[in-house]
Amino acid sequence: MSQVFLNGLRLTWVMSLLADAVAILRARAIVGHPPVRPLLDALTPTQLSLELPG
Amino acid sequence: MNSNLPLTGTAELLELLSPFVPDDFINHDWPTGATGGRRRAYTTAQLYRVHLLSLLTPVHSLNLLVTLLPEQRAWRQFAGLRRHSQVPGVRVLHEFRARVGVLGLRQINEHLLAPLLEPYAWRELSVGLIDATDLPAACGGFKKSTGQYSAPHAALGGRTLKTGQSRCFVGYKKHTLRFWLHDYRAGVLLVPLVSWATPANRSEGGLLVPSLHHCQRQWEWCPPLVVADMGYLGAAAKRWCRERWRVAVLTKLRSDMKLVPPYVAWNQAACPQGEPLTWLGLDGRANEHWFGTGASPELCGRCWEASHCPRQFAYRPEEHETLLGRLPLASPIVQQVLQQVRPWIEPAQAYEKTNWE
Repeated sequence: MSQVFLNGLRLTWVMSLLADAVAILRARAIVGHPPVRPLLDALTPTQLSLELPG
Repeated sequence: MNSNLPLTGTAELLELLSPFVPDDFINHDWPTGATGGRRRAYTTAQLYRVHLLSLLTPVHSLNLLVTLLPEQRAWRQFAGLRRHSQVPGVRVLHEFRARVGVLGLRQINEHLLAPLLEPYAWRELSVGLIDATDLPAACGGFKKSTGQYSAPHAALGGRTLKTGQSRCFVGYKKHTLRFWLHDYRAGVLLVPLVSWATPANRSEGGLLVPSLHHCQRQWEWCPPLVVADMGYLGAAAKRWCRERWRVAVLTKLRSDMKLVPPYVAWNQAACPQGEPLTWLGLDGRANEHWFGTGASPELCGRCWEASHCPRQFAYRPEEHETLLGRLPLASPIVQQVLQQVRPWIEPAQAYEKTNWE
């Protein structure tokens, strides 16, 4: 968005709403196509968090 | 924000997003019927898709997009343009924008949002985030004769001081209320509910109430928790949101603001003798927040007021809209939301500004 050629408030508003549309389309694609996880994903080691006192 | 989607600008991403564009809805609401003269060569959905390409490809201007479109087969395929010799010109795109307008584009966004928001409507806990982002104008300078910048309605606005950036810019601001789809567990997923474009000198806080009003009018619902930055500290708007829609607008406290009882710090409440208090809840009938001492208070056993102290204290929300308000700043839920969700605001804006290039 920051690099889009904006020379008027009306065009800015239109491009802002189109940017929103792209964000929503991406969200729908993400929700509609959840990330593929390997079958053994739950068994893979993960880093434990170290709870240090504040 | 973090997803496994293909990179922006790739044909793979266009193929993935294409089925979600509501062509039927667009063509139904803006049919390309008889014009009384000239024939319309493109459907409204095709022209909408061409506009989307300006944000889904590395092209940053519609004029350049029109020039490159004949050479880009994947882009034409996304827009439903079969022949490379037949692509819409800038005049046709301008007519589309004038015809559909801001209201039309909002309707399309609301149609797209509907299936995403359906599972969240009326939930007791859901979170919105509101913020504004700077959009510098393509501006040739200041015209002394008119007293305006060459880009219509552009204005001088301030922005947060960052290294390598000037304190001010000329252009516009995009104010967006986003919604957190918290059921999606693989990452943080935010969707824009409503956006406003204004000259850069308009204050951010002024768009809070209109954004929630728009949500109420459109969906008869709005997120009960709205996280914001210091630009939305205004007590009047917070009070309006609390009383009218029961929405808690959560912001941190500015360092120079005065505390009110029972607060001894922005995130800590205590009784007049210093015993820490926890938030017990809001009495909706009396409209009072109740705070009480913990199960094993440290000071109460030695306090000279212990014999007649109720150990529970009530405060009205309007005594301080930020510290008390709909949800007190010292309550665990507000602390958690401010610590977890508040830092997402800037990355969400930055992502929108930069990752679509």
